[in-house]
Amino acid sequence: MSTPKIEIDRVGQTFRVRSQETGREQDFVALDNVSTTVRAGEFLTIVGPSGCGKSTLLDLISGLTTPTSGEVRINGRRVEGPGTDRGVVFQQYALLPWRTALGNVEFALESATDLGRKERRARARDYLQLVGLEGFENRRPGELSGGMKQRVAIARSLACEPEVLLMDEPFGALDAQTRESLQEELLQIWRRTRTTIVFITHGIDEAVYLGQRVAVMSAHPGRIREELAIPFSAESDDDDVRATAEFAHYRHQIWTLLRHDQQAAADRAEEAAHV
Amino acid sequence: MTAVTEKRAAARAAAPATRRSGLSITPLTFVIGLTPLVLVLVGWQVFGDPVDFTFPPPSTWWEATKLMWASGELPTALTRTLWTFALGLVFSVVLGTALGWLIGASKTVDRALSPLLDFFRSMPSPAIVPVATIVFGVTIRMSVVVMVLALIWPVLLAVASSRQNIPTVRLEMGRVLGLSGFDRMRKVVLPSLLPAVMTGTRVVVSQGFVVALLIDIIGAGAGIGRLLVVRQQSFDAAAVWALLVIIGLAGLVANLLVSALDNRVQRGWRS
Repeated sequence: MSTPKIEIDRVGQTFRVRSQETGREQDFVALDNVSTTVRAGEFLTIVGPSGCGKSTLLDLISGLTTPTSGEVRINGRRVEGPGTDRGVVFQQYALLPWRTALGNVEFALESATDLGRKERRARARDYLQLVGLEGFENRRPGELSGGMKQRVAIARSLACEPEVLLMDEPFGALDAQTRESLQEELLQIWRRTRTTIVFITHGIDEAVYLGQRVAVMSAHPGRIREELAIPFSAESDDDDVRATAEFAHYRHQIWTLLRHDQQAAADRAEEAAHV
Repeated sequence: MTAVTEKRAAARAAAPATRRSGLSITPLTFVIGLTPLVLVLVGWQVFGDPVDFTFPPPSTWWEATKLMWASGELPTALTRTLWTFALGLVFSVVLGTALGWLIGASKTVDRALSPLLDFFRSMPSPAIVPVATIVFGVTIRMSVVVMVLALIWPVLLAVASSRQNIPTVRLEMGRVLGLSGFDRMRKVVLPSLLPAVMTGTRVVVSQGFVVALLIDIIGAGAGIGRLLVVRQQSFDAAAVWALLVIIGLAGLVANLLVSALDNRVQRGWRS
């Protein structure tokens, strides 16, 4: 078997935080001994309650932060910092308001590639077309809807042709309809490009619909609790996959996992209150 | 006195109109807006007493202007004031942006510099003039130093708060896309600060003439404010009225230019 695309090897991340009750500094364990691997071309979704460290995990893969213990490897090489082999799509789009849609995509190419001005423009156009924004090239972010902004951000990441696309709740701020159509289009893009995708969400439906595999995380400390392979998964072209009994089965399984976790957390809190 | 009030009112009315709507006022509406002022001046010319000691009619202002121009007093004073204003503006904006950037980017720098900056900021600019004169003499350097100490604050404060408010993801995006530290500053941070720089610059321009003239009037400058005082002391009312109009026009033009620029930036930067 070849080397996995991404290896997360016994990664731990601890922050120093000031306790609200005592005012003293203490360690907060955001991630505790997390290990998993992602194959090349795989679509992995990570679902978990807020505060379970899923965004922290993504920051570690992108290289924005370094783990307290363990390491992350891409193609067998240890991640030391950000690199253009990995693209990141943020929930808040992070577009530059003074540049047009086209300008925002070109912006990524200016630093990530050594293309000339004309080639950059042509490639930026291609990728805007890929995300369905033909005709909106010269609009500024202020003149685009939330869904369109996120399309620009996706085009910007894809234009650098990264090996891995990291998405941090990218559709979290969008309305339900826009979210569904973007999910569908993301799958189409993934099928076409076969980019390895790690997608973070707190929506169970979204995780099951998109992922070939779903990693369910639990909080305090952040751990991967279970990984489920989704057999029908992102491969199927069946539009109404959400209505199948299989879909419901996996959704329920994840829901149960998350709920137990929540229950346990509530019990712990109660216990602590009695002490 | 009427003319002064009218002129100020016209200038004030013009500025907020452009700021409020983002629609720049057209030349036509601007001319129409000046009508009351024109009417007052015409009335003054027609009904005024040509030898009045305090209210000489506008035609005499024009004569006084020509005399001051021919004698070389007016060109010298005007150049001096415009240079003081321009240098004060550039240094305030550049230094204000640099300091505001540093303070906004680092809590340590903010904490280290805050007491010092608060001290300078609370110092009224007229109080700085005598000290600056002792240090630099009656030179343009002195005037510029006073200008900067008085005017740097609006830029500095706007830029510092704007730097603090740049979304974290925007900076992370720069890192993720592999921009060098210099490129991140040049292509992400600096443009993000531009609207704040423009807002500050607008305030600097509108207050810049006040401070430039103040330095002259306190007696430590050689610009148009000095000329104003000299003419007033030699009871040349026509020249005083004429200088007032010139100062008003210069201020109006500078304000219109900077608000047009500001509006453009604010429009392009809206997210």
